[in-house]
Amino acid sequence: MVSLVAKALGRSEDPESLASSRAHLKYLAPSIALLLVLTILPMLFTLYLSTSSLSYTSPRPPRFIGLRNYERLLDDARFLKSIPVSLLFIGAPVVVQLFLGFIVAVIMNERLPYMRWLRFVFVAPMVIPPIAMGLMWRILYTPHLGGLNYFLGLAGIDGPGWLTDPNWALVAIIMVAVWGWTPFVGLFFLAVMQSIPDELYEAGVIDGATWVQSVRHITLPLLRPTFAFIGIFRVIEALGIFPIIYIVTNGGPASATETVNFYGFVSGFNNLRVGYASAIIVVFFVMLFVIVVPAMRLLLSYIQVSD
Amino acid sequence: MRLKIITILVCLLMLPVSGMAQDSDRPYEGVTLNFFYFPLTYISGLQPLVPEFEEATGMTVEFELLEEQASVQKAQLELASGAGNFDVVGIQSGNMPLYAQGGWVTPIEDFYDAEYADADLLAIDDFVGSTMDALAFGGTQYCLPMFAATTILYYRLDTFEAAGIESPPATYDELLEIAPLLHSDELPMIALRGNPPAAPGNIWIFNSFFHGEGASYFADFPDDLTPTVNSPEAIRALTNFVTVKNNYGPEGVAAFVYDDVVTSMQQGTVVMVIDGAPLAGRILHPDQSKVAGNLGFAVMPGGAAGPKPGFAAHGLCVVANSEKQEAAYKFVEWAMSFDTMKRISLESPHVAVSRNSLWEDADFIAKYDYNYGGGSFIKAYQDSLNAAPADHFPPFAAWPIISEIMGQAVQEAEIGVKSPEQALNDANNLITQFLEDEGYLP
Repeated sequence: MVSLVAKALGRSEDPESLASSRAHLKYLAPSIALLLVLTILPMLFTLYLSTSSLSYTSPRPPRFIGLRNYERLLDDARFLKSIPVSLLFIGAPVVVQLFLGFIVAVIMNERLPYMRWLRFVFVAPMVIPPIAMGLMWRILYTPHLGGLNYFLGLAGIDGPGWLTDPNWALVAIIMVAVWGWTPFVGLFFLAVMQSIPDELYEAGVIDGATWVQSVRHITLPLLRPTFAFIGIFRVIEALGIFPIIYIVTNGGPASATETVNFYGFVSGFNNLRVGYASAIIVVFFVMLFVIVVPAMRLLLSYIQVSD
Repeated sequence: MRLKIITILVCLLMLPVSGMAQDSDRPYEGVTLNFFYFPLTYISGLQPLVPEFEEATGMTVEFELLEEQASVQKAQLELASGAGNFDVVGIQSGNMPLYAQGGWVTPIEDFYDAEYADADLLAIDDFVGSTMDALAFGGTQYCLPMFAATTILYYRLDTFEAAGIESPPATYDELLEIAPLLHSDELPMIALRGNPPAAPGNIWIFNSFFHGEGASYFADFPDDLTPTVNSPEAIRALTNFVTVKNNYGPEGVAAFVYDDVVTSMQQGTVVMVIDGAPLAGRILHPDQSKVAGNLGFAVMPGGAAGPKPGFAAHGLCVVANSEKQEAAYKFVEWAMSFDTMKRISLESPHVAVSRNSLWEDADFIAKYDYNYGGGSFIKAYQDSLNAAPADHFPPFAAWPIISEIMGQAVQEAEIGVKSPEQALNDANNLITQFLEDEGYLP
């Protein structure tokens, strides 16, 4: 499938395989047409709406206003604030997930007592839907309901206002994302680790390597492509954090945890400013494009290497 | 043989007749109505009664209920796009101008004189006037009220008694005066909503502080829509709101949603709350409440302009592009009738009734007149309804976004990222810019 995609992208110079790609494309045409209708057309329509004044709260009929909505965005402090928040929510959880995922995988790879149960505990968050995850953490973060600050208090730590302090609210969202997706990263690392031949570790032991040295000089270098692969994959996925924000902070306090797409949602669905919301979403598309396309290219190149 | 044929023919001839007889008994046989809203107490109480209506009319009613904020968003998009998926929808009175101007709902008064209408069943004059007004726009009645909401002060009698305070605060000054006597880290004095979303958010409570100081949203609504949300009265209102919450509220109160407020009072973890009177059913729920029997009820405190409790009505409307207008109206007529409303109020915790006669009904009073020595609940409810300004939420199509901007400003001041003055100045600028963009201001 991957080679087919690569071929379809015109990477191959071989005339025979080109002809084969065309034949494949013929069969894929209906699906591609459907995808175009379901993705490209709505995007074009959003672009069109972003140049209109359409708002259900306005007494005026909608009209073409060119780039006015985009000009407004440049003056909109709430929108400008949502850009670094989006970048933070893309970058920070991924770094922590990779770090913790690796540690989790190393632990799960060891033959320790009760490891079967421990593995079950490690991967449990993976099966919890984002909405349930969000509700659970919101309760934990709410002082009079949740136990987080209570347990911090037992350790002598005065817990912060997770949902009321703008900086800690950002940390709160990142923590949920880390908690929710680290098991996936860990499992991925574990699968690759278990394919590393034992002989390499045995040779290390013969040479006098300690456990830490084995991890550092054998496991880590062999996992480097996996780090890159999962890192890119998680970056692509990271903007799917929307339901967590919606449930845990609802973008607050005072819009501190609003990402670009969340602000687009508020503008369109709460405020009914369809044209303005469309402009926000178009900017979001551009952001995604700038981040995801290079990431996808890298991802495909990794897949091709492993193919 | 001939006899058999004649018998069969006679039977065949009788079939349509019996069918017609069934039609007149169940005139809406085969009609399916689609209903959309959120599980407001009235709706939750209505659902178990619907099979009786279906049995009587032949109609089938399909309910689609979402969480409140999501239901408002979905309803508005569905109605604006003319998707035609719903026949009857619920509405919060703050959205009435939007629904009316958009032509999304059929004026309910258009049905009053229809051949199929039952004026006695509806008894239109029995509805509480302010709730009817809240669901009218431009002199036209669009929807019918099922829910009359206001805000009241709930307070713990034992804590007041221990502090030697004999009566609840009537003004914000009094509230701040008694606060040090009532507040402690273990038992904070007051919980109020903090999260900004428009439908169930902080503006529902803040607007009472705002109107209570004599502030208004516009220079002269509806003739002059120049926003005035940064007036000295408004700044004083926000300063009071922030002072009360930050100094005498529980930890995390700036992010409280209404559920947090209800739970705090229900579990007795605060001395008082100001929130919806219809929530008394939950706060005093016999199986869950730790304060039942220990609460007083009063009209909330006021500022320079006196107490201005919140006011909102919820109603039912017939969707304009529904192809089943007659059936939809018959359903609304039955759902809003005195008998149905009374049964809902007696068989469920729905106290926010919108019929005058029900407020005086002996069975209703017997069920809801909680009085534990700190004042009658029904009296506090009715006094608050009378004191509540009809424009608690200004009747303005652009209200949802103004409410959103103000909700953010209130929370910004509360968590300290801006002073009350700066937050309201910024909000005033944003509202001005928005009204200019939308064509409300030159």
